[in-house]
Amino acid sequence: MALSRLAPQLDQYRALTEGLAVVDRPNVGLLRVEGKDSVDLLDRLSTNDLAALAPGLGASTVLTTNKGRVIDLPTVVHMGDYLLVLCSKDAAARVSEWIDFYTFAEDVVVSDVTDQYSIAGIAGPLALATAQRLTGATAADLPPYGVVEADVAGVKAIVVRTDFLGTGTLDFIVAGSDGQAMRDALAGDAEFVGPEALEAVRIERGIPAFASELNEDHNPLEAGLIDSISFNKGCYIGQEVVARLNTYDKVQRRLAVLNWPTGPVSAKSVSIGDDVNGDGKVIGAITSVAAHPSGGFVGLAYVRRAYENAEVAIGPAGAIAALKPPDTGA
Amino acid sequence: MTTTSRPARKPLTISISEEAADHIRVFAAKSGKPDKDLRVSVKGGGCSGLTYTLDLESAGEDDKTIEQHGLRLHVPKKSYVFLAGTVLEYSGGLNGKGFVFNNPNAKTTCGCGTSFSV
Repeated sequence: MALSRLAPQLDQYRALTEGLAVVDRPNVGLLRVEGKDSVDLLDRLSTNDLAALAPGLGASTVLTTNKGRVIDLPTVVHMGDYLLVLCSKDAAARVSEWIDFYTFAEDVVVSDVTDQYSIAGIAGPLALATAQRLTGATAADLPPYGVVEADVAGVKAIVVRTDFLGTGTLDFIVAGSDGQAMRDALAGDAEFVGPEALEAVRIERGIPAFASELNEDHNPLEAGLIDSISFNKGCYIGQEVVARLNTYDKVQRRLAVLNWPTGPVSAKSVSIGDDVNGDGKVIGAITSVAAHPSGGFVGLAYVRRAYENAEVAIGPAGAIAALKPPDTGA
Repeated sequence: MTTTSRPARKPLTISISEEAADHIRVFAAKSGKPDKDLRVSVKGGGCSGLTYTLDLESAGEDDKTIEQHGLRLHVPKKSYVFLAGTVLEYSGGLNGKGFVFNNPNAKTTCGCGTSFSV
């Protein structure tokens, strides 16, 4: 989308939080997983219960190492004769190799189809109703992680409720050549929103992103991904560690949202990797930072659990920031 | 002249103890498959990444076959690299674990013993 069409940051923020916003989704990778054993294999490799996946349904699930650390947080949707896996674009090769490595006698073939598609997302309180109107789908057709295929203004689209920015946000996946036509069709009463405002809302809602928060330094419970974990599905890679952390309440750190006002200490004084200090000691580290469109700054940090609702000092200059647990409600 | 003894090389075959072979035969008879062989393989999954599987069936294409204690073991080619040197044993008694894989390739093993990583 042309940057010249973008409204001021505050208007973009309001579209994301109070209305309807259209965003580019350049960080999403797409894998096509085919073969009769696809569901069973992905179920054995990831945290959520995928065994009951049926056409039209999907799930958010975490690929973890055997030490229970996060590889990626893909959304797996059942397209009828194949599975479409929406993963982090930068993790697509790793996810594909991971599935391939663990394919022995199974009938499973993975291919990276990211380059064949263009993806636009819609977010805001009106997003779900808008998707229903454009696709003819009912609310029941689009449960969390559900998928429908529809013609939207003459463009064939795969519409997935990925909840990428909290409840009720969706992705429209179209052939690469239809990308602009789809964005125009989605525009309607919506506001085009750029990456800065999108990042501010992601951070404000405590939604972890690949690399900055989702990486092999952290487990899914620290990242707040408990809704993407089944504790009664049986074994998957990393299950023993994740189950033990949960059962014995051994999670030491949690992802928390920080916000601090504009002042003598600006966002430039706080960088990713900076310490978070509480009671005069280091209690965590900053993982994401953004200027907030309505003023001040927001950040994410993994911090010791005792400080989830505390006031802390951040960065070399010791800016005072308020910590709170994530809230992903739209 | 001094000679140095080389460390014993890891055996590259897969073997089964006599007790385990006896239990396989009993199990095969009870399952109504006395004429079937034992197929030992690995699949993705389990807590540690790879899981052992035992089936009573005939050899698949590209399987490696080993005969020991009157029992034929078939191992799929792709599984073989993860199982080379493994001894399949049987742990009986009240505290027994049943069939046990003693796999020299396993770096970590999960609590229940059916999953491992290399």
